[in-house]
Amino acid sequence: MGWPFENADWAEAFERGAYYAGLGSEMLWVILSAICLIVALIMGSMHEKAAYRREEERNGK
Amino acid sequence: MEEQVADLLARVTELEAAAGKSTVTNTVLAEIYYYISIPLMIIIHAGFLAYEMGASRLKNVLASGIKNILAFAFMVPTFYYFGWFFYWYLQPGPFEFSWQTGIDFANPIGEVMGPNLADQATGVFWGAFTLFAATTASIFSGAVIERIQVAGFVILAIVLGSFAWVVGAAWGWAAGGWLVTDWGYHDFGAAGLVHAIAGFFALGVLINLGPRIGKFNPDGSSNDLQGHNMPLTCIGLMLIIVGFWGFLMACLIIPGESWSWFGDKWASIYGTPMTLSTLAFNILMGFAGGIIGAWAITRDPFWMMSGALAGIISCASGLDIFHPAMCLVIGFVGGAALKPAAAILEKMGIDDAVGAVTVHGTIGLWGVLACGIFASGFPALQAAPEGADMPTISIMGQIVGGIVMFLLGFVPGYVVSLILKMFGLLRVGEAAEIAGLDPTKVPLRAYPEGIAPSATPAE
Repeated sequence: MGWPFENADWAEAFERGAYYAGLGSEMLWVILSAICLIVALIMGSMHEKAAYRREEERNGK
Repeated sequence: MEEQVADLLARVTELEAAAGKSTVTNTVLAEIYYYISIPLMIIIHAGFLAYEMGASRLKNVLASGIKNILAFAFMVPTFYYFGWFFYWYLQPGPFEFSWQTGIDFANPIGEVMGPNLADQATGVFWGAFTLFAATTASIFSGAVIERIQVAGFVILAIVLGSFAWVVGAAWGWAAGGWLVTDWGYHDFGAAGLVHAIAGFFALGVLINLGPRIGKFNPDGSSNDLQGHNMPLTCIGLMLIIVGFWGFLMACLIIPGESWSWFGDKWASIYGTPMTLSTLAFNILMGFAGGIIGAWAITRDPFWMMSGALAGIISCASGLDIFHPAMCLVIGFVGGAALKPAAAILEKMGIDDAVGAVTVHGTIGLWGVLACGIFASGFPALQAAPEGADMPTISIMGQIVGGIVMFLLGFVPGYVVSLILKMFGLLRVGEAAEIAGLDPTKVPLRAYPEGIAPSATPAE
């Protein structure tokens, strides 16, 4: 995690281009971020379904 | 002599330094130009948010807002993961792909899609395209208010914004796209590939989603389910018009960069020359024509403001080449056609709550065709493709493009919404729809203290 190059100066960053921070790999973070979306969507859907069910019960259906 | 040579060398060094500074200035200007288009396009979403919430009945206001906000939020990461990649990968199409270009320009696990001192532009272009994608989702969002489930809606928005319209863009909004090279398809301001695709995607979904409870009577006649706040809707539409300037400015290619078409001239995305001046003339004339056309037919502020959108969408395909007065006439026709076209849709039993299918779908197609009618013969590219004749704009090319855009919207909209319906993820429960989505699932109230009725003159 943190500075991706050996020496703590900007020369290597100018030479290599990409200089972002990251633990593991880009793939790991892309997957983790996608998992956040999927989990949020599932939780949202469950909350929504429960709310509709409650409303149906309240109306005696 | 030696002194003169030394002077000359000094002058050359000075000129080189000045040229270097000028290049940097141009690069910074180019990047800022597209960067600024991003917040301007976000104003489109502020507009759609106000528009949708105003068009919702009091019991559904915040639920409509949540849906619209989520369309924007989910579009950003999904366009980062694969939407941007598809734009490059699917060129030139339809059966020929560019894997390596996709990897070079848009690989989310590669080096260009993040902080990179060797690449200062990718993120800016990605951002502008992401906002185009989010615009398609917002267009669709309004049509389905008051009865769609949020999870199902988000999935549909992702399919539209990070895939369906991207296919249209790769085929018809790139100099190498097959619709352009083979048919001379011209769609400068995305009447077909953003508006028509989003509008007909909404139509495909609406067929499976069905109308709101109470919209149609048993005898087939319809009721007007008015939104709770027409002023909010009108202000939302005006904000969309402001955001359109960002949308359309991002359709130009700035001169003087390594990726520019010209050293000293603005160009369309196809590389054809144009000017910012043209854009200013034609956008304003198109808007005005649409408003006046809608006013002439309806006298209704909702349709007048929708007419402004219809006006600019009518002119969008040929916005870079039409005469300003022609834009007013084309926009006028679009604005005047709105309400009759919406009435036909309603007679078919389609409940499009905000007229999105009409404003963006039907009028989007009119915009595509208008370019073929009024700009036939214009060269569609800067230079002919190698070993081929120069493609030119034609009615036939625009018809082919229009059919492709219709199918790219309607088919995925219909098929994916049908699948969601089969899995019970499309429509909200009947009791919830009758009670209202806000009291059913939103932890806040839009107007907790209520809205006081107007006082009568006697009071």
